[in-house]
Amino acid sequence: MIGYKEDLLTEILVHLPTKSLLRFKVVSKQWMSIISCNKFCLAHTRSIHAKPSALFIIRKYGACKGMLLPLTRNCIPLPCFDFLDAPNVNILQSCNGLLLCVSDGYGPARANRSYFQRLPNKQKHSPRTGGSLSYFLSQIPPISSGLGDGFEADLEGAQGSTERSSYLLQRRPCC
Amino acid sequence: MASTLKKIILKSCDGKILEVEEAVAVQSQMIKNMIEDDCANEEIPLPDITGEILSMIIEYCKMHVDGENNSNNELIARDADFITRVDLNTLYYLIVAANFLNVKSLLDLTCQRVADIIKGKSPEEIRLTFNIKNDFTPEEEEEIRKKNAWAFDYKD
Repeated sequence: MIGYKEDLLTEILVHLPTKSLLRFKVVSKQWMSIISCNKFCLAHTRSIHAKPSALFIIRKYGACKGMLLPLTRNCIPLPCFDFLDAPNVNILQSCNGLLLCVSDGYGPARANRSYFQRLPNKQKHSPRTGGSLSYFLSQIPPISSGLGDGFEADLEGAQGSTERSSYLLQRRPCC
Repeated sequence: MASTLKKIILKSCDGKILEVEEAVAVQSQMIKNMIEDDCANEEIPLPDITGEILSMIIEYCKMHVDGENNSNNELIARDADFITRVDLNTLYYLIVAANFLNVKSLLDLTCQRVADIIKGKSPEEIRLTFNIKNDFTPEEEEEIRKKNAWAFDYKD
């Protein structure tokens, strides 16, 4: 009965964890369309259940391969992004626990601008301009190595056109 | 003082009449609006809500009015006790009714409960649970599964 009532279904789905939502995209076209909708993604992110407990960051290049950054009460609202070795990191968007960050580099305005995102191998799909983060949700790769206590890692560093051009930051609740 | 003891009369779709104290009834935003608009002096018919569901909703609202002075943790515990007694089918009716009556906290509670029940299920189980027909072609379904492969790596 309720499976077809879109407004109530949305109310239920917004309470689900991200991983379940991605899995439930194949339930039906209606479910797919609700889960993929930007408005839903935003509502899901804002729901209290999407509060992150940590940021996990992997760098493709550089000495520091990965980093787990707890978002406990002590460091909310936002952590310091110094470890990324990039200047002026700002968050552009967030959706379903993903953060899209941008770094304004030194030099002429915008010339060194780096987006922190995961660029899929197929560059033509790059949501670099005006892309919605919901896009990334279908692109998150599997992470094989265990990260230890209570964190799920659903992300990977990304490759851009230059060595330091892109990263993906993915935050996941501690389970 | 007199106004707090005022009774609101609710009539379920199966003809059950329930008298509710105003303080309890106004937990429903819909009824609150009706009272403010002076439309709640006669019995209020609730076409889609059975007597059984209505009683549960009133029990919930009463619990929240009575528990106003209790600690937050105590209320959460009572909510949990209330909601775990409810089976999935009844939950659906509660959701529809909480939505209609606009009892936001109950809507959140019931939806969260359904989400907790279904979050570990497979898409096939979801279709069975909600009686949903899969309208993807096998190729389309495979494509989506591939894109979200990591999400299908789950236990139970």
